[in-house]
Amino acid sequence: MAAWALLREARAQARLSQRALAERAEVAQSEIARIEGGRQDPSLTRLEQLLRAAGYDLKLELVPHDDHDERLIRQMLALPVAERLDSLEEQSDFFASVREVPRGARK
Amino acid sequence: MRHRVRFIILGGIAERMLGSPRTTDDFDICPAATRANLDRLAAMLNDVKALWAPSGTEETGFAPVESWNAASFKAQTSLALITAYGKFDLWFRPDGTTGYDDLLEKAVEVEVGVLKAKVVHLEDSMRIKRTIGGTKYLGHLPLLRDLQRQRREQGLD
Repeated sequence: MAAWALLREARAQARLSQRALAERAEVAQSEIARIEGGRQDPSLTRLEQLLRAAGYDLKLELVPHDDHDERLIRQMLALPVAERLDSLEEQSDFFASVREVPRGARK
Repeated sequence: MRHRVRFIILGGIAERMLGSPRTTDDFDICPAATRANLDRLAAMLNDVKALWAPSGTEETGFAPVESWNAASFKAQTSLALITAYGKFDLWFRPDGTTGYDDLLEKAVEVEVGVLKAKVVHLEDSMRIKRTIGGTKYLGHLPLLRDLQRQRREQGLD
């Protein structure tokens, strides 16, 4: 989860305005606005400071890298532009054709 | 293309053309804001019988009071339309930019069959989304950064 999303979530859970969190963390409200707006990447230390001010600790753990999106991008870049759009059209047609089976009719 | 409208493709279709796997169901463009181009744009919209589809009317839309003309776009920063071909959004000044000329600087030219089109550069796409902000658009940034990195590794940017 990105820093901006973590901070925004922590602030929302703590029911704090940006100004209130800034006061607790002794930082400028504008810094919190920039981080939550994706315009500034905080250091890990800074992020922990802000989250702590919202009443949260940051727990980090190693997990295997999920390269799903990277693989999809590689596949897409291997296609000519026209085929990238054709596959989008095929996907749209497919999803447009999906119909849910009414609950009573399900086996 | 027949109407020779100058525009830059934005949004999900642009990102798809540049290699993003994300799907989308609308077509966004930033047209050049010269009077002559807006006249051509209006002619194209009349040709495809584009309906204005403000929030809440996305599925039906309604016809403009008079035919589309350059004055239809006056003082608009964006217009949501629907056509027989689907949703079509015009962005005269995408967030964080000054419009067509701004985006033209880095726009990528792509070929689709015999057609050539200009597509917004990923850096500008990300600039627009950072400016709009919000969970939805900021959530697109990691994928776009991955795409940008792979494109650079392949010498595409």
